Amino acid sequence: MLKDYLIVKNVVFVEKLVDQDESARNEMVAESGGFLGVPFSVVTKDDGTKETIIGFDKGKLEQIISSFNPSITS
Amino acid sequence: MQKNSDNDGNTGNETNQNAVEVTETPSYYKNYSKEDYDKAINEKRVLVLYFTSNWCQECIKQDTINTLSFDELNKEGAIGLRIHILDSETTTETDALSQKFDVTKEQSFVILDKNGVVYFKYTGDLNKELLKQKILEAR
Repeated sequence: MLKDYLIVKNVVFVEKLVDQDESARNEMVAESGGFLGVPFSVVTKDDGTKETIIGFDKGKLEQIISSFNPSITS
Repeated sequence: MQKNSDNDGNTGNETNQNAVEVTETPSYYKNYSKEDYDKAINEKRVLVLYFTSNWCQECIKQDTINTLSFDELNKEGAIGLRIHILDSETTTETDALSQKFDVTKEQSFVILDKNGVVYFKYTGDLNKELLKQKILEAR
């Protein structure tokens, strides 16, 4: 569902399968502060700052995506 | 004498109505039924589907958090339904719902907004504050 949403919004993303990839799992634990659940997204902005999203959170995704490209609306 | 004077023109019922805030559509969290599912959709109420398994200890812990969250959001009119998958309590109906929302693992949340659209989907544990936040956002 999250992947479908990002594709529709033309957002480039890298998928990491934390149940199959130990390094990805460790990365997720570090980024989330120990939160383990899926989906979990890390958005890296142009200025290098990061924003994390727990779950398929349509409201937060739309907010972040529109900040990248104000022409995109829900 | 004073007592009679206080009661003039007032009934006990009227006094109670003034004192107690009446919630016509309180929130509740219970086992799935089609009736409750349809009620949430038809009455445009936020609907939380919690996919759980009776062998899943983490789900049992989460269920307590879910109950507390709905108690604290009593006035919001949200409906939460516990849906069994992958266990002895799974029915054809609950299995069909898991397929409808593409849920393949126990301990999964799907929150629908008032228009019946998926607003939030997640597999894992959610603390009370985050769950309440997502329910309120979906209004």
